[in-house]
Amino acid sequence: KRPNSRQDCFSAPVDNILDDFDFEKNLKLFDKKAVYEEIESSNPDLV
Amino acid sequence: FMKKYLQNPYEINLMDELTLKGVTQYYAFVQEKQKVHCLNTLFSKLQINQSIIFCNSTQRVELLAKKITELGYSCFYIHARMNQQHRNRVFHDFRQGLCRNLVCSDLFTRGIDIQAVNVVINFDFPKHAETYLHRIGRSGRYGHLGIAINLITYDDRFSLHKIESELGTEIKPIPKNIDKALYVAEYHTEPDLDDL
Repeated sequence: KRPNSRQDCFSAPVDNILDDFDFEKNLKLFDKKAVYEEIESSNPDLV
Repeated sequence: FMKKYLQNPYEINLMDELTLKGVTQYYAFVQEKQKVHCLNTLFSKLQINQSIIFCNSTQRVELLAKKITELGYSCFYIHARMNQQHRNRVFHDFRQGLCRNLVCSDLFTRGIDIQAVNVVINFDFPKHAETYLHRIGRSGRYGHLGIAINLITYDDRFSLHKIESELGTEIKPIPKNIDKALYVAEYHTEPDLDDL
């Protein structure tokens, strides 16, 4: 990982933000239930 | 001390418990580079009375405050590296309502007690449940309505899981339309007694 990758969000110019951020589209990229099942199966002592 | 000097003292615990009651918690899934865009959309969509936006470092507080100003919104910012006197003044001015948005790092050890704050945004998701509770929680006296929106990246998935399970709470995906009754005072109506 690049050391300054955490700064990514501050480097983009703001004048290109015209449209709304698409919350639904992005939520589809994260299957919370599946991710949780994976976390819990790899760390059974967590729960 | 107590045994020695006090006769039959009444013990009263004045420490307010922090509570998540009354706060509806959502998450938005984002990439790091989308965070500012996402925040900008939240600003335009939400009916914010006053908001507090949390970052995980003092440097990011300053960068974000600058960015928000570029976007055309006014904000104050405070973080741990400022001297206490300056911090107190900014916080006091914010409390007076001189500015709508406050960007900060983790300075509150007793939760936020500003009635006018109806939206809290975790621009950076915290790593510890205690930090989350201090940011989002309200002291019992003020257990009042508001929403908390967490910007979650894939790297935050472990923290999200840990914090939800440790606090026994659920952070839901952000819905298309957020019911104003959840965080805007004028829209909030007490349930009708006939409905119970």
